[in-house]
Amino acid sequence: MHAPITRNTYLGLGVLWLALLIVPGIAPNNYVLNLAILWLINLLLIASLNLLMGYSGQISLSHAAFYGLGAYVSGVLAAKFGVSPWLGLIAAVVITGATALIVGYPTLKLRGHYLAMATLGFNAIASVLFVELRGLTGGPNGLLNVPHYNLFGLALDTDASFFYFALAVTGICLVLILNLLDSRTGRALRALSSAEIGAACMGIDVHRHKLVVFVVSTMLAAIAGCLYVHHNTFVSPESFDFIASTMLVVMVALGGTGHFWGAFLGALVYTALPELLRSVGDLEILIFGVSLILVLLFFPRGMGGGLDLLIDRWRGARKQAAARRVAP
Amino acid sequence: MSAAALVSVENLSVHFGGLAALAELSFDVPAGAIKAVIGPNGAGKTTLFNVISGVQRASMGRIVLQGADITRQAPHDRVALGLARTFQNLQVFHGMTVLENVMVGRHVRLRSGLASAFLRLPDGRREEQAARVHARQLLDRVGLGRHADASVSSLSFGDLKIVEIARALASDPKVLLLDEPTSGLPAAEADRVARAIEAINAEGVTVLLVEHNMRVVMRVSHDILVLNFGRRIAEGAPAAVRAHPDVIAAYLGTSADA
Repeated sequence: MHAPITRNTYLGLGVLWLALLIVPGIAPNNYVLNLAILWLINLLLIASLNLLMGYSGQISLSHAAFYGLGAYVSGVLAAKFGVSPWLGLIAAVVITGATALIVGYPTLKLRGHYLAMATLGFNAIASVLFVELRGLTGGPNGLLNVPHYNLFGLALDTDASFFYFALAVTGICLVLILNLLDSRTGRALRALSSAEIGAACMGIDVHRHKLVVFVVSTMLAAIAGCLYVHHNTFVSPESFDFIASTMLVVMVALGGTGHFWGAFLGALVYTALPELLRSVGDLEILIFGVSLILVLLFFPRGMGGGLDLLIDRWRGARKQAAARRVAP
Repeated sequence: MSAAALVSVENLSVHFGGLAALAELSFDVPAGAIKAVIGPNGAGKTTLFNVISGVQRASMGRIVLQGADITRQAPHDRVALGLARTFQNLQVFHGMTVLENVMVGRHVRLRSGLASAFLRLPDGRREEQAARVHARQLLDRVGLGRHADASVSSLSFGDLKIVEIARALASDPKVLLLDEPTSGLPAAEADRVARAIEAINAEGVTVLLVEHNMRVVMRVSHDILVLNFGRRIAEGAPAAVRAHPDVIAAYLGTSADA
């Protein structure tokens, strides 16, 4: 079940974004503010994967690699060749989209989970390239000295200024995702994820639509990568490995596949949990795995779906209370 | 055969390994007709629909729609040319409302693309609004208007069969392929579907119908094709087909009116 996109979804997003404006003012320190920035970047990453996986039913196991490709293209251009990060952003989006087109074109022709297999391979290739193209990427030590964005002479080099920038970029991307979902194309995507043969027999070019949504989702991941690299000023290959891609898929499922607000919760968990569990060391992965199983056992539609249940129950209780008040 | 064939099936064969699901089958669907395809289970009726709609590839032969060879066309291109279908076991889009399901059927008649979607351009919004009104009217016409905003998953099997018909009609088809529209429905519901088929045909849509309910078939069809083991064993007006000795032996004789 995809939660419908309504005027209220846009309204909710607007209200949330207004509320988030105060975060730099109330954040007790830069550590918390940095986590908030990381949440915005992860949100864009998970929401774009949810567009592909949740709404269109196509599983990609290399979303982190496309995120990394975006980060490295813009980062390398800026750090090694002095290219403006703004041009780097365009280059990152174009190159990532073109790469996705090459990976997706043949595999999406086939019915079944061939995209998952192809992207599994692609992530392995990308990880090797990030490490081995030492001259460009800095290899396993990572890419250093990536410059910050500069907006009309104002360097976005403080956490507060970058928070507002990331808030704007992620906000715009989320609106673009909502617009896409609430359109002829979005309806076709939701249809083909539910019944592919039915969709084809309703006149939907299934291959073209799958390819479009795959490319769009990787382009959004590339934008997230650019935000990451020009804020952090440093990247290393392990942020974009197969484990990271798998975790992103898990976060989409945990938040709720095809649930718009699920991505917000998934991003919250993805950002906060490693910090919260840092003190327990190796137990982290165990606690994480068990809690994941528990959530999906009790809320098969993820945390977003669980939230819907709570809201429905609350509304039902209110309705009952109102009925009692009317009755003598 | 009538000179004005809307759909012509020419020498069509479909093989699954060594098994011939359809063997050298030829027939015409005259423009404006209601033609029924009947036959025992496994006669190749659903395979025939799958080949005509493009879901299944033909091993040999041709499908011609209004003079154009569509045998190698992708399913979505056939819809644009005026071919629409429903499914025996349903292919509804779960997770969407009834109205959205019908709006998906309008897909090929809408033009707005990606730029329009991302930027919510006024042209695209107007087109969406018109598609929404159109879908609502279709649902009102088939008597499901009050379910328009319900989740499609909340409807009964019988209602979903009707939703599929409305969804197919949303593409403004010239020919509508109905795959067992009354299977699993109680008698009163089946009559409702039969009336709907006649109403759709009266508006100029040619209908090709696969159906097991002989009462519905005899009532609505102008012309019946009888298949057995992928071959034609009889074809003609309902009265003639009913009296055909091969048909009685192969079909009516062994399986009485359900």
